[in-house]
Amino acid sequence: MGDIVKLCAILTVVCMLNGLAIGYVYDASRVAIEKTAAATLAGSLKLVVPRAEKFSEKKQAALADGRSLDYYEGYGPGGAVAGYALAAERQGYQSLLKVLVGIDPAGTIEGIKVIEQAETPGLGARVDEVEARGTLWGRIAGMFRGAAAEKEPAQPWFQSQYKGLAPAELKLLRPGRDGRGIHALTGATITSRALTDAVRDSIELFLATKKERG
Amino acid sequence: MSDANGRPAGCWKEFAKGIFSQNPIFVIVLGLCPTLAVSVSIENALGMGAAATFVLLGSNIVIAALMALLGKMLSPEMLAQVKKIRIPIYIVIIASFVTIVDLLMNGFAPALYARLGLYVPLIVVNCIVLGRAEAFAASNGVIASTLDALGMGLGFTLAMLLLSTVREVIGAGKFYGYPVFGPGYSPMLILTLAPGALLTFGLFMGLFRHLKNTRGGNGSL
Repeated sequence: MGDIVKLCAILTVVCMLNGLAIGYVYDASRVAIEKTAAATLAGSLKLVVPRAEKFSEKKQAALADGRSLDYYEGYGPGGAVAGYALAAERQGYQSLLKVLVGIDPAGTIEGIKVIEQAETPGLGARVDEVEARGTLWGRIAGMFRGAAAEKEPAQPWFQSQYKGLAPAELKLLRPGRDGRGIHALTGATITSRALTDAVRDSIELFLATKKERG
Repeated sequence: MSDANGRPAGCWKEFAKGIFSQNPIFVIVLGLCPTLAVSVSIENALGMGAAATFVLLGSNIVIAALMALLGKMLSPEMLAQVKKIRIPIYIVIIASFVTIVDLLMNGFAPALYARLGLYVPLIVVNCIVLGRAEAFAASNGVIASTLDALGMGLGFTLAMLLLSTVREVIGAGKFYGYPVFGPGYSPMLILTLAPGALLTFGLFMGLFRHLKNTRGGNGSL
Protein backbone atom coordinates (compact mmCIF):
# COMPACT_ATOMS: atom_id res chain seq x y z
CA MET A 1 0.00 0.00 0.00
CA GLY A 2 2.73 2.43 0.98
CA ASP A 3 4.58 1.43 -2.18
CA ILE A 4 1.68 2.39 -4.40
CA VAL A 5 1.42 5.83 -2.81
CA LYS A 6 5.15 6.36 -3.20
CA LEU A 7 5.17 5.28 -6.85
CA CYS A 8 2.16 7.45 -7.62
CA ALA A 9 3.95 10.40 -6.04
CA ILE A 10 7.07 9.81 -8.16
CA LEU A 11 5.07 9.48 -11.35
CA THR A 12 3.11 12.61 -10.50
CA VAL A 13 6.34 14.55 -10.01
CA VAL A 14 7.71 13.30 -13.35
CA CYS A 15 4.48 14.27 -15.14
CA MET A 16 4.45 17.67 -13.48
CA LEU A 17 8.04 18.38 -14.52
CA ASN A 18 7.23 17.39 -18.09
CA GLY A 19 4.08 19.49 -18.05
CA LEU A 20 6.09 22.42 -16.80
CA ALA A 21 8.65 21.98 -19.58
CA ILE A 22 5.95 21.79 -22.25
CA GLY A 23 4.15 24.81 -20.81
CA TYR A 24 7.33 26.82 -20.86
CA VAL A 25 8.17 25.87 -24.45
CA TYR A 26 4.58 26.54 -25.53
CA ASP A 27 4.72 30.00 -24.00
CA ALA A 28 8.09 30.74 -25.57
CA SER A 29 7.07 29.65 -29.06
CA ARG A 30 3.47 30.91 -29.15
CA VAL A 31 4.26 34.39 -30.48
CA ALA A 32 6.51 32.99 -33.20
CA ILE A 33 3.88 30.43 -34.18
CA GLU A 34 1.18 33.13 -34.45
CA LYS A 35 3.44 35.36 -36.51
CA THR A 36 4.18 32.54 -38.94
CA ALA A 37 0.47 31.75 -39.21
CA ALA A 38 -0.38 35.40 -40.02
CA ALA A 39 2.30 35.59 -42.74
CA THR A 40 1.11 32.29 -44.22
CA LEU A 41 -2.50 33.55 -44.24
CA ALA A 42 -1.56 36.75 -46.09
CA GLY A 43 0.31 34.73 -48.73
CA SER A 44 -2.55 32.27 -49.10
CA LEU A 45 -5.19 34.99 -49.53
CA LYS A 46 -3.18 36.53 -52.36
CA LEU A 47 -2.88 33.10 -53.95
CA VAL A 48 -6.60 32.21 -53.94
CA VAL A 49 -7.91 35.63 -55.00
CA PRO A 50 -5.09 36.84 -57.29
CA ARG A 51 -7.06 39.84 -58.60
CA ALA A 52 -7.53 41.42 -55.19
CA GLU A 53 -5.00 43.99 -54.04
CA LYS A 54 -5.90 44.09 -50.41
CA PHE A 55 -8.07 42.12 -48.04
CA SER A 56 -10.50 42.93 -45.26
CA GLU A 57 -10.10 41.66 -41.74
CA LYS A 58 -11.76 38.35 -40.95
CA LYS A 59 -15.55 38.57 -41.29
CA GLN A 60 -18.24 36.15 -40.30
CA ALA A 61 -21.30 35.11 -42.29
CA ALA A 62 -24.22 33.35 -40.62
CA LEU A 63 -25.16 30.47 -42.88
CA ALA A 64 -28.63 29.12 -43.62
CA ASP A 65 -27.87 25.87 -41.78
CA GLY A 66 -27.23 27.72 -38.53
CA ARG A 67 -23.43 27.58 -38.60
CA SER A 68 -21.15 30.46 -39.39
CA LEU A 69 -18.37 30.83 -41.91
CA ASP A 70 -15.27 32.99 -41.67
CA TYR A 71 -14.39 34.83 -44.82
CA TYR A 72 -12.22 37.64 -46.15
CA GLU A 73 -13.27 40.24 -48.71
CA GLY A 74 -10.76 41.02 -51.44
CA TYR A 75 -10.76 44.48 -53.01
CA GLY A 76 -9.63 45.24 -56.55
CA PRO A 77 -7.78 48.36 -57.80
CA GLY A 78 -10.86 50.65 -57.60
CA GLY A 79 -11.85 49.47 -54.15
CA ALA A 80 -14.65 47.31 -55.54
CA VAL A 81 -15.07 43.76 -54.27
CA ALA A 82 -12.99 41.51 -56.53
CA GLY A 83 -13.72 38.27 -54.74
CA TYR A 84 -14.00 36.42 -51.47
CA ALA A 85 -11.80 33.96 -49.66
CA LEU A 86 -13.86 31.52 -47.62
CA ALA A 87 -12.31 29.59 -44.74
CA ALA A 88 -13.97 26.19 -45.06
CA GLU A 89 -13.23 23.14 -42.98
CA ARG A 90 -14.32 19.53 -42.86
CA GLN A 91 -13.26 16.28 -41.27
CA GLY A 92 -11.03 14.33 -43.67
CA TYR A 93 -9.81 10.78 -43.21
CA GLN A 94 -7.88 11.37 -40.00
CA SER A 95 -7.59 15.11 -39.55
CA LEU A 96 -9.54 18.31 -39.92
CA LEU A 97 -9.01 19.74 -43.40
CA LYS A 98 -8.87 23.53 -43.44
CA VAL A 99 -9.07 25.10 -46.85
CA LEU A 100 -9.17 28.65 -48.13
CA VAL A 101 -11.52 28.92 -51.12
CA GLY A 102 -11.11 31.93 -53.41
CA ILE A 103 -14.15 32.85 -55.53
CA ASP A 104 -15.13 35.75 -57.75
CA PRO A 105 -18.38 37.57 -56.83
CA ALA A 106 -20.38 35.20 -59.10
CA GLY A 107 -19.08 32.11 -57.30
CA THR A 108 -16.56 30.71 -59.80
CA ILE A 109 -13.47 29.35 -58.09
CA GLU A 110 -10.31 31.40 -58.57
CA GLY A 111 -8.12 29.09 -56.55
CA ILE A 112 -8.04 27.02 -53.40
CA LYS A 113 -5.33 26.42 -50.86
CA VAL A 114 -5.28 23.77 -48.17
CA ILE A 115 -4.16 25.61 -45.06
CA GLU A 116 -4.01 22.75 -42.62
CA GLN A 117 -4.18 18.99 -42.91
CA ALA A 118 -2.58 15.99 -41.28
CA GLU A 119 -3.77 13.21 -43.55
CA THR A 120 -1.85 9.98 -44.16
CA PRO A 121 1.54 10.75 -45.72
CA GLY A 122 1.66 9.28 -49.21
CA LEU A 123 -2.11 9.01 -49.51
CA GLY A 124 -4.36 11.85 -48.31
CA ALA A 125 -1.44 14.17 -47.67
CA ARG A 126 -0.89 14.22 -51.44
CA VAL A 127 -3.44 17.05 -51.64
CA ASP A 128 -0.31 19.17 -51.15
CA GLU A 129 1.81 17.22 -53.65
CA VAL A 130 3.59 19.33 -56.24
CA GLU A 131 4.15 17.77 -59.63
CA ALA A 132 7.79 17.72 -60.69
CA ARG A 133 8.64 19.21 -64.03
CA GLY A 134 10.81 17.15 -66.37
CA THR A 135 12.20 13.70 -65.65
CA LEU A 136 14.84 12.49 -63.23
CA TRP A 137 17.31 12.10 -66.11
CA GLY A 138 16.62 15.58 -67.43
CA ARG A 139 17.12 16.90 -63.93
CA ILE A 140 20.47 15.11 -63.51
CA ALA A 141 21.59 16.31 -66.95
CA GLY A 142 20.54 19.82 -65.93
CA MET A 143 22.65 19.57 -62.81
CA PHE A 144 25.74 18.80 -64.92
CA ARG A 145 24.96 21.64 -67.29
CA GLY A 146 24.77 23.90 -64.26
CA ALA A 147 21.14 24.85 -64.77
CA ALA A 148 19.56 26.45 -61.72
CA ALA A 149 16.74 24.67 -59.94
CA GLU A 150 13.27 25.92 -60.81
CA LYS A 151 12.61 29.21 -59.05
CA GLU A 152 8.90 29.89 -58.83
CA PRO A 153 7.14 27.40 -56.55
CA ALA A 154 4.70 25.21 -58.45
CA GLN A 155 1.17 24.81 -57.14
CA PRO A 156 -0.12 21.43 -55.94
CA TRP A 157 -1.76 19.73 -58.92
CA PHE A 158 -4.70 18.38 -56.95
CA GLN A 159 -5.71 21.83 -55.73
CA SER A 160 -5.25 23.53 -59.11
CA GLN A 161 -7.97 21.27 -60.53
CA TYR A 162 -10.54 23.42 -58.72
CA LYS A 163 -9.62 26.61 -60.53
CA GLY A 164 -12.29 27.91 -62.92
CA LEU A 165 -15.01 25.49 -61.82
CA ALA A 166 -18.49 26.53 -60.71
CA PRO A 167 -19.78 25.02 -57.45
CA ALA A 168 -22.21 22.75 -59.33
CA GLU A 169 -19.28 21.16 -61.18
CA LEU A 170 -17.52 20.14 -58.01
CA LYS A 171 -17.77 16.38 -57.91
CA LEU A 172 -15.29 13.53 -58.09
CA LEU A 173 -14.87 12.05 -61.58
CA ARG A 174 -15.19 8.31 -62.05
CA PRO A 175 -11.77 6.72 -62.45
CA GLY A 176 -10.53 6.91 -66.03
CA ARG A 177 -13.14 9.48 -67.08
CA ASP A 178 -12.34 12.99 -68.13
CA GLY A 179 -14.45 16.11 -68.07
CA ARG A 180 -15.14 18.99 -65.74
CA GLY A 181 -14.70 17.83 -62.20
CA ILE A 182 -12.06 16.62 -59.77
CA HIS A 183 -9.77 13.63 -60.22
CA ALA A 184 -9.57 11.92 -56.83
CA LEU A 185 -6.22 11.05 -55.28
CA THR A 186 -5.36 7.37 -55.67
CA GLY A 187 -6.07 5.56 -52.42
CA ALA A 188 -7.43 8.68 -50.75
CA THR A 189 -11.02 8.95 -51.91
CA ILE A 190 -12.25 10.04 -48.48
CA THR A 191 -9.84 12.97 -48.36
CA SER A 192 -10.63 13.96 -51.94
CA ARG A 193 -14.38 13.81 -51.35
CA ALA A 194 -14.21 15.68 -48.04
CA LEU A 195 -12.22 18.49 -49.60
CA THR A 196 -14.48 18.73 -52.65
CA ASP A 197 -17.63 18.72 -50.47
CA ALA A 198 -16.15 21.34 -48.14
CA VAL A 199 -15.37 23.65 -51.06
CA ARG A 200 -18.76 23.18 -52.76
CA ASP A 201 -20.87 23.50 -49.63
CA SER A 202 -19.07 26.57 -48.39
CA ILE A 203 -19.52 28.38 -51.71
CA GLU A 204 -23.18 27.41 -52.09
CA LEU A 205 -24.10 28.36 -48.55
CA PHE A 206 -22.12 31.57 -48.71
CA LEU A 207 -23.73 32.67 -52.00
CA ALA A 208 -27.20 31.82 -50.66
CA THR A 209 -26.53 33.97 -47.60
CA LYS A 210 -25.31 36.84 -49.76
CA LYS A 211 -28.36 36.67 -52.02
CA GLU A 212 -30.74 36.63 -49.08
CA ARG A 213 -29.24 39.81 -47.74
CA GLY A 214 -29.43 41.41 -51.18
CA MET B 1 30.70 -1.32 -21.18
CA SER B 2 33.57 -3.65 -21.93
CA ASP B 3 33.88 -6.75 -24.07
CA ALA B 4 35.13 -10.22 -23.14
CA ASN B 5 38.79 -9.18 -23.18
CA GLY B 6 38.21 -6.31 -20.78
CA ARG B 7 38.83 -3.66 -23.42
CA PRO B 8 36.29 -0.85 -23.63
CA ALA B 9 33.86 -1.74 -26.39
CA GLY B 10 34.40 0.32 -29.51
CA CYS B 11 32.27 3.39 -29.96
CA TRP B 12 32.03 2.38 -33.61
CA LYS B 13 30.32 -0.84 -32.63
CA GLU B 14 27.57 0.97 -30.71
CA PHE B 15 27.00 3.15 -33.72
CA ALA B 16 27.26 0.53 -36.48
CA LYS B 17 25.06 -2.17 -34.97
CA GLY B 18 21.91 -0.20 -35.77
CA ILE B 19 22.73 -0.09 -39.46
CA PHE B 20 22.88 -3.77 -40.27
CA SER B 21 23.23 -6.41 -37.56
CA GLN B 22 20.52 -4.88 -35.33
CA ASN B 23 18.69 -2.83 -37.92
CA PRO B 24 15.54 -1.61 -36.10
CA ILE B 25 13.23 -2.31 -39.04
CA PHE B 26 14.51 -5.42 -40.80
CA VAL B 27 16.14 -7.26 -37.88
CA ILE B 28 14.55 -6.08 -34.61
CA VAL B 29 11.27 -5.42 -36.47
CA LEU B 30 10.15 -2.42 -34.42
CA GLY B 31 8.32 0.71 -35.46
CA LEU B 32 6.51 -0.87 -38.38
CA CYS B 33 3.35 1.25 -38.16
CA PRO B 34 4.97 4.51 -39.32
CA THR B 35 7.37 2.61 -41.58
CA LEU B 36 4.70 0.91 -43.63
CA ALA B 37 2.53 4.04 -43.78
CA VAL B 38 5.21 6.55 -44.70
CA SER B 39 7.61 4.59 -46.93
CA VAL B 40 5.53 5.44 -49.98
CA SER B 41 7.89 8.08 -51.31
CA ILE B 42 11.55 8.88 -50.82
CA GLU B 43 10.83 12.41 -49.66
CA ASN B 44 8.50 11.12 -46.92
CA ALA B 45 11.03 8.48 -45.90
CA LEU B 46 13.81 11.03 -45.46
CA GLY B 47 11.52 13.39 -43.53
CA MET B 48 10.34 10.66 -41.19
CA GLY B 49 13.88 9.34 -40.78
CA ALA B 50 15.27 12.75 -39.87
CA ALA B 51 12.45 13.54 -37.43
CA ALA B 52 12.62 10.12 -35.75
CA THR B 53 16.42 10.26 -35.43
CA PHE B 54 16.11 13.63 -33.75
CA VAL B 55 13.57 12.45 -31.18
CA LEU B 56 15.47 9.20 -30.61
CA LEU B 57 18.62 11.16 -29.91
CA GLY B 58 16.85 13.46 -27.46
CA SER B 59 15.00 10.71 -25.60
CA ASN B 60 18.06 8.43 -25.37
CA ILE B 61 20.20 11.24 -23.94
CA VAL B 62 17.55 12.40 -21.45
CA ILE B 63 16.74 8.88 -20.25
CA ALA B 64 20.39 7.80 -19.96
CA ALA B 65 21.19 10.96 -18.00
CA LEU B 66 18.11 10.62 -15.78
CA MET B 67 18.83 6.99 -14.95
CA ALA B 68 22.48 7.76 -14.18
CA LEU B 69 21.38 10.64 -11.95
CA LEU B 70 18.77 8.56 -10.12
CA GLY B 71 21.33 5.77 -9.64
CA LYS B 72 23.56 8.23 -7.80
CA MET B 73 20.85 10.03 -5.84
CA LEU B 74 18.60 7.23 -4.65
CA SER B 75 19.25 4.32 -2.33
CA PRO B 76 19.28 0.86 -4.00
CA GLU B 77 15.86 -0.06 -2.53
CA MET B 78 14.35 3.20 -3.75
CA LEU B 79 15.92 2.73 -7.19
CA ALA B 80 14.37 -0.72 -7.47
CA GLN B 81 11.00 0.89 -6.63
CA VAL B 82 11.40 3.55 -9.29
CA LYS B 83 12.38 0.92 -11.88
CA LYS B 84 8.94 -0.65 -11.44
CA ILE B 85 7.36 2.41 -13.04
CA ARG B 86 10.11 3.08 -15.58
CA ILE B 87 7.93 2.41 -18.65
CA PRO B 88 5.32 5.11 -17.82
CA ILE B 89 8.20 7.47 -17.07
CA TYR B 90 9.78 6.75 -20.49
CA ILE B 91 6.46 7.30 -22.23
CA VAL B 92 5.87 10.63 -20.50
CA ILE B 93 9.40 11.78 -21.37
CA ILE B 94 9.15 10.69 -25.01
CA ALA B 95 5.70 12.23 -25.50
CA SER B 96 6.89 15.50 -23.91
CA PHE B 97 9.96 15.51 -26.13
CA VAL B 98 7.88 15.02 -29.26
CA THR B 99 5.51 17.83 -28.23
CA ILE B 100 8.43 20.17 -27.50
CA VAL B 101 10.09 19.39 -30.85
CA ASP B 102 6.76 19.99 -32.58
CA LEU B 103 6.25 23.39 -30.89
CA LEU B 104 9.83 24.58 -31.37
CA MET B 105 9.90 23.57 -35.03
CA ASN B 106 6.54 25.23 -35.67
CA GLY B 107 7.64 28.46 -34.03
CA PHE B 108 11.26 28.86 -35.03
CA ALA B 109 11.80 26.78 -38.17
CA PRO B 110 8.58 27.18 -40.16
CA ALA B 111 10.18 26.08 -43.45
CA LEU B 112 11.39 22.85 -41.88
CA TYR B 113 8.07 22.41 -40.10
CA ALA B 114 6.19 22.69 -43.37
CA ARG B 115 8.09 19.62 -44.62
CA LEU B 116 8.56 17.57 -41.44
CA GLY B 117 5.66 18.76 -39.28
CA LEU B 118 3.43 15.98 -40.53
CA TYR B 119 5.78 13.28 -39.27
CA VAL B 120 6.55 14.58 -35.81
CA PRO B 121 3.30 13.47 -34.12
CA LEU B 122 3.69 10.04 -35.76
CA ILE B 123 6.90 9.48 -33.81
CA VAL B 124 4.97 9.01 -30.58
CA VAL B 125 3.74 5.69 -31.94
CA ASN B 126 7.22 4.70 -33.15
CA CYS B 127 8.21 1.97 -30.72
CA ILE B 128 11.87 2.17 -31.74
CA VAL B 129 12.15 5.15 -29.41
CA LEU B 130 10.63 3.31 -26.45
CA GLY B 131 12.50 0.14 -27.40
CA ARG B 132 15.90 1.84 -27.30
CA ALA B 133 15.03 3.62 -24.04
CA GLU B 134 14.28 0.30 -22.36
CA ALA B 135 16.86 -1.92 -24.07
CA PHE B 136 19.81 0.44 -24.17
CA ALA B 137 19.63 3.95 -22.73
CA ALA B 138 18.38 2.85 -19.30
CA SER B 139 21.44 0.70 -18.65
CA ASN B 140 24.18 2.55 -20.55
CA GLY B 141 25.98 5.86 -20.31
CA VAL B 142 25.07 9.07 -22.09
CA ILE B 143 27.80 8.84 -24.75
CA ALA B 144 27.05 5.21 -25.62
CA SER B 145 23.33 6.07 -25.74
CA THR B 146 24.01 8.99 -28.07
CA LEU B 147 25.92 6.74 -30.46
CA ASP B 148 23.24 4.07 -30.18
CA ALA B 149 20.54 6.65 -31.06
CA LEU B 150 22.50 7.94 -34.05
CA GLY B 151 23.14 4.42 -35.35
CA MET B 152 19.56 3.29 -34.85
CA GLY B 153 18.25 6.50 -36.43
CA LEU B 154 20.52 6.03 -39.42
CA GLY B 155 19.53 2.36 -39.70
CA PHE B 156 15.86 3.36 -39.57
CA THR B 157 16.37 6.04 -42.22
CA LEU B 158 18.32 3.69 -44.51
CA ALA B 159 15.66 1.00 -44.16
CA MET B 160 12.95 3.55 -44.99
CA LEU B 161 15.02 4.70 -47.95
CA LEU B 162 15.32 1.14 -49.32
CA LEU B 163 11.58 0.48 -48.94
CA SER B 164 10.52 3.82 -50.36
CA THR B 165 12.91 3.61 -53.33
CA VAL B 166 11.38 0.31 -54.43
CA ARG B 167 7.84 1.50 -53.78
CA GLU B 168 8.19 4.89 -55.41
CA VAL B 169 10.15 3.79 -58.49
CA ILE B 170 7.91 0.80 -59.29
CA GLY B 171 4.66 2.00 -57.76
CA ALA B 172 4.68 5.57 -59.02
CA GLY B 173 7.42 5.52 -61.67
CA LYS B 174 9.23 8.32 -59.88
CA PHE B 175 12.42 8.85 -57.92
CA TYR B 176 12.27 11.65 -55.34
CA GLY B 177 9.26 13.02 -57.19
CA TYR B 178 10.90 13.03 -60.62
CA PRO B 179 9.58 10.66 -63.28
CA VAL B 180 12.13 7.92 -64.06
CA PHE B 181 10.52 6.23 -67.03
CA GLY B 182 8.91 7.79 -70.07
CA PRO B 183 5.20 8.59 -70.21
CA GLY B 184 4.56 5.06 -71.53
CA TYR B 185 5.20 3.49 -68.11
CA SER B 186 2.05 2.49 -66.35
CA PRO B 187 2.82 2.45 -62.61
CA MET B 188 2.20 -0.67 -60.55
CA LEU B 189 -0.09 1.14 -58.13
CA ILE B 190 -0.40 -1.68 -55.62
CA LEU B 191 3.12 -0.99 -54.39
CA THR B 192 2.13 2.48 -53.21
CA LEU B 193 -0.87 1.07 -51.33
CA ALA B 194 -0.92 -0.91 -48.09
CA PRO B 195 -0.40 -4.42 -49.61
CA GLY B 196 2.66 -3.16 -51.47
CA ALA B 197 4.16 -1.95 -48.20
CA LEU B 198 3.84 -5.42 -46.66
CA LEU B 199 5.12 -7.19 -49.80
CA THR B 200 8.20 -4.98 -50.12
CA PHE B 201 8.86 -5.16 -46.41
CA GLY B 202 8.63 -8.97 -46.36
CA LEU B 203 11.05 -9.33 -49.25
CA PHE B 204 13.59 -7.02 -47.62
CA MET B 205 13.26 -8.79 -44.28
CA GLY B 206 13.98 -12.08 -46.02
CA LEU B 207 16.99 -10.56 -47.76
CA PHE B 208 18.42 -9.28 -44.45
CA ARG B 209 17.83 -12.66 -42.82
CA HIS B 210 19.60 -14.37 -45.72
CA LEU B 211 22.56 -11.99 -45.55
CA LYS B 212 22.89 -12.54 -41.80
CA ASN B 213 22.76 -16.32 -42.17
CA THR B 214 25.31 -16.50 -44.97
CA ARG B 215 27.69 -14.38 -42.91
CA GLY B 216 27.90 -17.12 -40.31
CA GLY B 217 25.30 -15.67 -38.02
CA ASN B 218 27.45 -13.01 -36.38
CA GLY B 219 26.05 -10.45 -38.76
CA SER B 220 28.73 -7.85 -38.15
CA LEU B 221 29.38 -5.36 -40.89
